[in-house]
Amino acid sequence: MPGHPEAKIDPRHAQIFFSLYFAMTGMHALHMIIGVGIFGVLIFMAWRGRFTPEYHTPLEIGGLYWHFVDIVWIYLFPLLYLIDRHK
Amino acid sequence: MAEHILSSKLYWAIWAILICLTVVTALVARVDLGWFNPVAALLIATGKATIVVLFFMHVKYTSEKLTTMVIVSALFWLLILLALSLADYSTRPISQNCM
Repeated sequence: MPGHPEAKIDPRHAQIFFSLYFAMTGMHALHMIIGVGIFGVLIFMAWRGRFTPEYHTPLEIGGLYWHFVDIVWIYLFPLLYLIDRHK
Repeated sequence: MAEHILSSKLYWAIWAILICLTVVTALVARVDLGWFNPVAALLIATGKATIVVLFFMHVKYTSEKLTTMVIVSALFWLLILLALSLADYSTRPISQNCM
């Protein structure tokens, strides 16, 4: 590693990191694809006039799901992509 | 459901704030602050998540105390998760670990 000539790099560290990386980004991507599908259905329902100012619950619930997915990403992005950027 | 309707201007403003915080996260990640780097990243990320929960998920305008309680409990649980993970990882006797 730069600056630490005596340090040995353990390949097991990289293995652990990358297995976690692919597992977490894969799960997140799967949830995003599901979310896109849900939005497609919601757009179709809205186009068909199913929602009114009194009844728009599916829109709200779909929005909540999507925000849960993006909050996961808010943590995943810095922890997986930016974590050792300063080195 | 929610009686309170937010202006689209507010949503755009919150989105702009989130974008700025993302840029800040990326910039701070490039500066070497030693052990503070992951702490800073998590702090900014928690700030962004809080903004998303309060405004985009409408929690700031909810009159349901139960909703707030569930979120506070979830955050407390997350704290336990992070504290125990850090307690394990930071007390390991590995010489070349980058914490």
